[in-house]
Amino acid sequence: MSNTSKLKLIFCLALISLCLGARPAWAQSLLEFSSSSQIAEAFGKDVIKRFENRYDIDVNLHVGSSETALLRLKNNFSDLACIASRLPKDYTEKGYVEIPFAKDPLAIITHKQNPIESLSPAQVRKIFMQHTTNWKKVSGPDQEIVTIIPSQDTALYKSFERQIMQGFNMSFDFSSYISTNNFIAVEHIPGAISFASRGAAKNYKNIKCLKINESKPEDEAYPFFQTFSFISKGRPKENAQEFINAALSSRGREIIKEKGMYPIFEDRSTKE
Amino acid sequence: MHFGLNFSSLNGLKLSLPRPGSWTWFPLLGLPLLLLLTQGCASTYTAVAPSHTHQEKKDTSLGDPEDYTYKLQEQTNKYSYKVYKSPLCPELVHIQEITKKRPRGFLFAVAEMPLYGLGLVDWVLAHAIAQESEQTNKTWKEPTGRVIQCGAKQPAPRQKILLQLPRREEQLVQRTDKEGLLHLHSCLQNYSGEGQVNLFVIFGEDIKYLSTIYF
Repeated sequence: MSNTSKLKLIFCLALISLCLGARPAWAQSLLEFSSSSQIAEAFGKDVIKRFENRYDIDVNLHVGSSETALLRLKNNFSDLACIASRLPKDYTEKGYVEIPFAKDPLAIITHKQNPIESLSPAQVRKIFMQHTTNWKKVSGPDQEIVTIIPSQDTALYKSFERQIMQGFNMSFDFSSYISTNNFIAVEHIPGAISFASRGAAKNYKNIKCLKINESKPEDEAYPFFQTFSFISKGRPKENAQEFINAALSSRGREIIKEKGMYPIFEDRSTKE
Repeated sequence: MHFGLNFSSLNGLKLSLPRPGSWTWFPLLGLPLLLLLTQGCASTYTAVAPSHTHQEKKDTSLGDPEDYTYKLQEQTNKYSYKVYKSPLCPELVHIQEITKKRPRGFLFAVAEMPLYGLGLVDWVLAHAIAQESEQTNKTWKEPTGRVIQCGAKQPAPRQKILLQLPRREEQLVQRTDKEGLLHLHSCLQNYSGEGQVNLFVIFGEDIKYLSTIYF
């Protein structure tokens, strides 16, 4: 073998070993984080900013549905997931860790100019069954109701179906792939109604949250909530732990409250 | 055209000097005189120039412990755990406010170099003057925002531990004993079948994840 060929071979071997070798040092300070779009919108982005400022850890955020976030975690594409539904029991048995950290009112939203202020759960149910198709029937203007729902894979849809529809079939005019797209639709379609995370709703100026049985979403008597949880495969690793701690810190809990949600750990009605 | 001295008439010790007002004086006497006069311009210019104040970041050090990381270690007794803590210190950067002159007159120094070679000396001198003028007004420390482990782990006695039962959405608070031991047997026997308990440390207003126990 000539010297040139030997050099070429050494170069190729070095290149291959570089490609197959250990992860570079910088990769250790990366947190792969998958989040439900509602949570990312309502809370996650603020905490990520704060977290990245404090620690030498970059967060690679992937936003999708809660189901997608869980699947990414399951398939090792994420170190930590944040979902808006409870973890199925079989996941707990397989060693997944669920850390509920906030409760978020499930808000019924309309355009800001809609004069309706309050609905009963039965009225909401009838609207989303499309038995009520005009706002006139619920003491509103003579305007057609346009029902918009998030994708049926989302935790938001499932929470609404379980808590409000209570087994009745839902009917709708439009469906959006990501739950936060509902806000854009409601902002632009007169007469539209949808449901969303109260925390995320605070970011949109041209929509309003309706009262349910005269209770505002921020009231204790408000009947519909979702629980936001961190999920990890096994006990959370160091970077994921730091992120959880940032979310549970006093500043993290303040952000949760600022967004109209309730930090689970704020309620210190605990037995000692 | 002739320059300066006329050597043809040296026998008679007669000098044929350029006429007054003629430009032929300049290369002979004027240019060397001018260059001689500009010697030390850079250093003089630097010496008379005003000082400038700026901040410089020097080395880093660690402050006093302000936080802890916690670890849980399982003991041989079922549902008994030992809680350890390791101190975390804020990284501090030392900052100095410095008043100093800046070296000036680089072009003068360059101009001096071809004939006398002293421009270099002038420029070095200008630097030395600038360096000599350096005064540290004040020094202080600022946190960089990073926290670093700064001590050995030790047991965490009388530490408040928050237990979260995710399925029931219940929380309990327990304390470690004086040796940092956490006994959960009596507490967890009421929750058999729960499957998972998350443990957190309560540290001031913050809550920190400690571990998860399966049972």
